Amino acid sequence: MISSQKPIGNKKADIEVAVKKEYSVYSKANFYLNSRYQVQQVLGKGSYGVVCSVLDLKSENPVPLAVKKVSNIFTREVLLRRAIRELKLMKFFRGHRNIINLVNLDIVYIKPYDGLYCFQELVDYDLARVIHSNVQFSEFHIQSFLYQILCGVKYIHSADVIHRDLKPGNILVTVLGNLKICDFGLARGINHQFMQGSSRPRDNAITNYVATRWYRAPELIFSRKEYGKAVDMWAVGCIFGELYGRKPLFIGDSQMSQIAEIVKVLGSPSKEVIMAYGSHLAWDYFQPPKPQYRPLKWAHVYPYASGSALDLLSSLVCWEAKRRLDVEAALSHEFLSAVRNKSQEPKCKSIFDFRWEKENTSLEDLKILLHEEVTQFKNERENNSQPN
Amino acid sequence: MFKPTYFAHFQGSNSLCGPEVGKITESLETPGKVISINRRVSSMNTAFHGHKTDKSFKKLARTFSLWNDQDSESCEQDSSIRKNKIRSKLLNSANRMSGRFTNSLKLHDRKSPLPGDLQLSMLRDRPFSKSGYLTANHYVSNQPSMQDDSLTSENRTISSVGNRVIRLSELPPMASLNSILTQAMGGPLERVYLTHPSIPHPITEEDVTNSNISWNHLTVQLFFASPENAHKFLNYGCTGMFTINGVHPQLQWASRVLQETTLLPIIKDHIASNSARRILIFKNKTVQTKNKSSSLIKGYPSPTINYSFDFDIRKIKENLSKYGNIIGIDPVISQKLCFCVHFYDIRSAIIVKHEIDRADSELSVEYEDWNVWYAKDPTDTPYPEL
Repeated sequence: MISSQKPIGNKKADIEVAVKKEYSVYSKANFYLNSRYQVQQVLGKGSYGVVCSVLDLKSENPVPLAVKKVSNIFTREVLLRRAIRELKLMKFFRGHRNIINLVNLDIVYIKPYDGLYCFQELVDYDLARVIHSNVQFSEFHIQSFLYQILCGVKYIHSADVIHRDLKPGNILVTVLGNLKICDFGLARGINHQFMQGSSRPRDNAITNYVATRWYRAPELIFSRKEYGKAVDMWAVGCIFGELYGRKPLFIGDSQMSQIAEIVKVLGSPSKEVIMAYGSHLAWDYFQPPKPQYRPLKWAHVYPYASGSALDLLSSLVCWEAKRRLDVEAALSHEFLSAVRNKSQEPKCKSIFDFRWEKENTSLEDLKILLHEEVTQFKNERENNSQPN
Repeated sequence: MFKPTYFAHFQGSNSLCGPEVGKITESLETPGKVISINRRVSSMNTAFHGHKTDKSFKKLARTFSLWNDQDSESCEQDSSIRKNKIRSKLLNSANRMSGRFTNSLKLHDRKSPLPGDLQLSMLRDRPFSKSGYLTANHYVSNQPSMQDDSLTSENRTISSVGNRVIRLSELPPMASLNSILTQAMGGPLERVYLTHPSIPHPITEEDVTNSNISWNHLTVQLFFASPENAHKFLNYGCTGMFTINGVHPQLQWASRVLQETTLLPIIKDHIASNSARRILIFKNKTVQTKNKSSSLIKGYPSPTINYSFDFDIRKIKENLSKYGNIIGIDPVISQKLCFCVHFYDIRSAIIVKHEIDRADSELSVEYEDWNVWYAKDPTDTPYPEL
């Protein structure tokens, strides 16, 4: 597939190669796939591209897969960079029970089908669908779901990576209750040793415009300072609350209304918290004469939740990022003791190296890098060798 | 070194028909003696009723443990006489014991046993007499021979004929059976063994955690239901697609000494006719009053109607672990309260299912509000070809 295709510019040759390789088109989603894959349906569309479910017919028994096509990557540097980042991270985290498994990759250069095709295991549901339907929960269900999310997050954080878009829609669930974190489109490495040495200051900058609004930590809204793993822990706390409330904890329809929703529950932040944000926005928003709110008791928000659940929730959903539990502390919390199995809490074997972001600055560099990444993945996949 | 809970659980299960260990094994090896097995089981079982169970039970567990240790030595000394003595000691001890499950199961109380009872009683004996503890002795004595079965291109073919057990080693420092089984494919498993080179019997994940053992010192043996399934897994497992926490483990055929190359017919029957698997799904029968208007509030489900308050997972684990070690209990996505139990061994699932289906048994009373059926093994998924 990838290795046999020429880069952009030789369209006729591409088509000839594709015909020989028996590729076929699925026009509803502009998919261009090897004929071994039979498209079933479109699962979702977004700014990134399209996801379809397919059957891999090459195996003795058809294998259901999800194929995510990342579009517009060959013309927009930012999208290509993001696609490579996601690809590298998915390769890096392969094999963890609570992280989605990358099965295959392909690059197509022929328009309008061009893009990176990521083949992943197909999972029955996403957590949003599970939470917002009439699925029967118990405390055990919530404990198990939260525990698995935290196991996945621990693995990610141990590589000094933050996901930055944790939400129920990005957590897939099998019918037998196995949760898998997916969509690393906004994830990035944060280890300082790989941040140094860039000639361009913006390479070291870390954008605050991340995370879906309802799960966005307050420091991402107010602060322009560097943030860390605590933004993921806030999101985990919001998901935890949603598991009990069966609806998102803070439903804001704009940035400002999002803050208002948080304030309704957590009360107005202290002066120290506001000062720590170091932004006028925070000062203007919270300081008198603006109305001051008292915090609600979590027991009033979720009266049917146990004491230990509420204690953990209050330690995750709090204004101060420093006071928020880190993933290890959350895993050790009493609430999870009934479902905890330390063998399921591995750390990643190394820190994620993202120096490539500084070393590849042009669109052409990135195209070559993408090609190399896909080729390397395919080689690793076929060979009985240690994956990187 | 390890607390004997593992033994105790297996012994407990074994004690279902524990006293018959030797006799049934013997009869199984002599075709045509099935009826006599039934008679023995009934008479022996009657003799156990009324005895206090726990002390005998613990004693038997200790005896087994002792026997294992001693038997390891005896292997080295090649002393079959001593082995027989220990075996008869074991059986005598078992005869003195009243199985703590015999009371609850009352398998042989009935004048006319239900179809399948006899077979199940045989099943209960087999895993622990032949595959479980007896086999466990070979873990030490045959350790070097296990290495001989590594997957070189030559012996891969030789070893693979009729073989259905794959041995995984060089695992990442931290893993779990769940994480391994999630990545494994090819077909359903009969059982899973977790072993350490210096421990002469299979251990549990709990042992590993409690003793802080690194997983890269452990070996996992996957007993597939059929050699074809094992082959499929091996084909997949040897590609770079198979990774556990970023590490590609080493795969080998397990030593022939360690395994029964074919499944017991009774297990085969259960797999074929009842779709028996290691995993049981429990779904609550209680009908919740869930109509659309009452359960949805502004498009979201009601948090209280869709929440079961009185569900105690610890109690369930405690109940079911009497029938064999449990790898894990997971929630199941369902509109009724639902969960699934992953056993190490398909026998445990078969016995639990049978007991729940059997009128008036302890489990059938305990789980009268639950529908129970076998779930698809997570390893029973097709794997993508290269």
